[in-house]
Amino acid sequence: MTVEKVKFSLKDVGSEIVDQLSKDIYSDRGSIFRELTKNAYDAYLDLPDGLLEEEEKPRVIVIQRAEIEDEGRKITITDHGMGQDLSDIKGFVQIGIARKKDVLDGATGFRGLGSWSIMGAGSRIKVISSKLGVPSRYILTLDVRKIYAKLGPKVTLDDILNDPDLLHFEREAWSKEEHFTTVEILCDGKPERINGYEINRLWEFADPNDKELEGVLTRYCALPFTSQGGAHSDIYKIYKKVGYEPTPIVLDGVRLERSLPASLTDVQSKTLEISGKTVAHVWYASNPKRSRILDEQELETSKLGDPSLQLVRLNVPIGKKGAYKDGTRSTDQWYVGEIHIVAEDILPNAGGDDLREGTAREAFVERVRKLYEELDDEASAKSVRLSLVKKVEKGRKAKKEIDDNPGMSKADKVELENQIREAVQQLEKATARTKATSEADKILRKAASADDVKAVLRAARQEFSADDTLSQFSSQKTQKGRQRKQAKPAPTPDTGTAAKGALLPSDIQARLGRAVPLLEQAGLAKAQIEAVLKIVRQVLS
Amino acid sequence: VSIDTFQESAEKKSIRGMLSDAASLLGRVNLTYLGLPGHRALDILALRAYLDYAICVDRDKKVLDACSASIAGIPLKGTRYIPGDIWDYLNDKYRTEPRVADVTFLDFCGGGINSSTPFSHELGAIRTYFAKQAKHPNKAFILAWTYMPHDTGTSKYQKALEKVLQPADLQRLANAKGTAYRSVAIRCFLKQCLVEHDMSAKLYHHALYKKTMNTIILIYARGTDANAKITLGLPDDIMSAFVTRYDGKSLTPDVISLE
Repeated sequence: MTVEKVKFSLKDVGSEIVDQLSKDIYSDRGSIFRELTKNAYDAYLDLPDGLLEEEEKPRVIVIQRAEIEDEGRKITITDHGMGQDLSDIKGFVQIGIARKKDVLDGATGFRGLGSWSIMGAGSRIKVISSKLGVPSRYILTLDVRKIYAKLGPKVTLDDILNDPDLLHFEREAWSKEEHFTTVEILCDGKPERINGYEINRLWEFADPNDKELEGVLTRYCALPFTSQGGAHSDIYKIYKKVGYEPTPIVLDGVRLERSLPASLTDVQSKTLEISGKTVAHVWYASNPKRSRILDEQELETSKLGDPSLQLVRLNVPIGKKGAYKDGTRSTDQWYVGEIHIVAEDILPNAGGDDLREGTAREAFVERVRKLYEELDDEASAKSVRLSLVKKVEKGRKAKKEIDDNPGMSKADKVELENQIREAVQQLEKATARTKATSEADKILRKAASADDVKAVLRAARQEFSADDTLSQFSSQKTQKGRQRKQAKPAPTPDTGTAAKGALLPSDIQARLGRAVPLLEQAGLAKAQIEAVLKIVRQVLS
Repeated sequence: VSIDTFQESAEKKSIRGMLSDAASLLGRVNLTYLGLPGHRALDILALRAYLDYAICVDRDKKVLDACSASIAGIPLKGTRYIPGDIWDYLNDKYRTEPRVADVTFLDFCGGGINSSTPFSHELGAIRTYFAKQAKHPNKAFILAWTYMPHDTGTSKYQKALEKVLQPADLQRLANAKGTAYRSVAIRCFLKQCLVEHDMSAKLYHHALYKKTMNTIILIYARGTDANAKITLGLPDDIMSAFVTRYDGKSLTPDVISLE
């Protein structure tokens, strides 16, 4: 028996693989933006350190939408990263050859699907790029309409990739100092099917008047928190730990950044470990004065999306908020936060809506569930604390009302006295020196040990001690009170739902010309400007 | 391949710099640009610090295409690409354009006035432009206009303007000679537009390159713009503004009188 050498080529690969690659993976239009912004983020990674600062260019991803008369709508996604030469830009049509993971430390993209993954987004896709140090810019154009019209069981990938009418590269002279990549998606009309394949999928989002895209970018893309404000410093420490470089998206001139509402002052951070190995860094924020989270308006203004914690890798969201939380309690809604995965073996699946299957995933999911249990406990303690403060404050207020209105009706007075009694008994329970016997009492004592709660209790005790209020309403005094105390259910945690040559004479002349209107603006008359120019001429000569 | 047919020059760079200087005098940073930025969109890039919107016009869709790629990285709030002739656009569509142009740059190769019958297409376009601007009082605008004598002669100007200009300005035009003729004609026409809409103005710069190419940068407003950092004068003042002449040989430009 002899070995027959058989070679395969692109002619052995059916063209329909192109659609199969993208359709199932990026079924959601938001995923297209996630992929594009991930690529834009990654483009900044191999830029020389300090270059952007030197050029005074912001590290941002610019998304623009425009209407082109008689042609349609266009969305462009631009980064001022390293840019690409012909070899790099060729990668946009290669399939399954990803260089990022090998070359770039901290890259977010790794699937190597390039432009195929966004094929149906428009009717024509262009990638325009200029690489730092290369005196050319390259343009890759894919005519999606024609490509889709040609796909078929008898058409090979070779027929697609090597047909310049469908896909071609152009080069033109460009400044070697320029470095950028722009992906341009042209939608020449509403979504339609060509040969069974959908094109112009981003038609609605490409409308400059559309208001939905911002929300989509908020849900699907890595939007950093603003660096302004003290509470954000904790988040930036996590960014540093996980190696994420904050890269805001600028949509139609508006910078999209998340922010924590002023009320979320309680910011906590944790490290998730599995077998002694750090798998994620977590931060979460809540309002120390409220059990529930924010209203929808606050969440929208802050671009926080829904409440609860978001699983992210290099700040790119994975799945929905609160993923893997067990149980029926919704205390995760009391927080906003992020779980930044750092473990190398815990990766998002191709669609970005879950984690890749595997044993590492299972252990990680378990750890995340435990995290939510911990948050549940914290929420319970917080609920007790807030309830304690509320009752005591209510009693103080009732006492003042009685003191200020000696002639009030008996019925009103009884009601207010009940509030004072409740406050006094809570005060006694929370500050008792005897050992706590029940779990509820332990939680209450712990709640009372918080500095802000201590201050409230101290003030109340002083007020109630100033006269005989404390002894009058003490649970120690009346059997009835004791019975009420015993019958009183343990404080139930609030389970409410919440959220950079020489110049030619012509160059010098042109530059000096710019000064002429400025001199005039400075108040010089024509004769004076002539005199200044004469002096300059003499000096330069 | 290259579709960039316009060669970059120190003069063009300087004009863009002046345009940017003039834009800074408007005292606002949410400006709308209207013009023919070309494939590299260098005007827009020079004005980027002041712009929120850009309306880009060009006959060649490929140029618009390249233009959009060139400005894709600028965080503008909005852009519109209009394939077609700039004069057609000003004549037919500008009046219904949702935005008013703060900086308008008519930068193209061609004469200032190329048609005279039945009524100058160019003059009509400029008049329509000023009519729209006049609807936005107390706001200063910039009109920059680059023109070359590619027309067939002075008669076109004379014929196109005789029904538009006041007798005194027609006399002024009749007295003008040589290369200055077209500039006098265009200044007279601009003055007339300013007068018709009760506008004040300042000819920020009038550059003359290589004896033939002119660029006028005019700042004007109907009423007083409290934000503007420039004092505007009477429309007739633009007639006496000097010309800065660049011959490309000496180190400094000359300052000469037009009239």
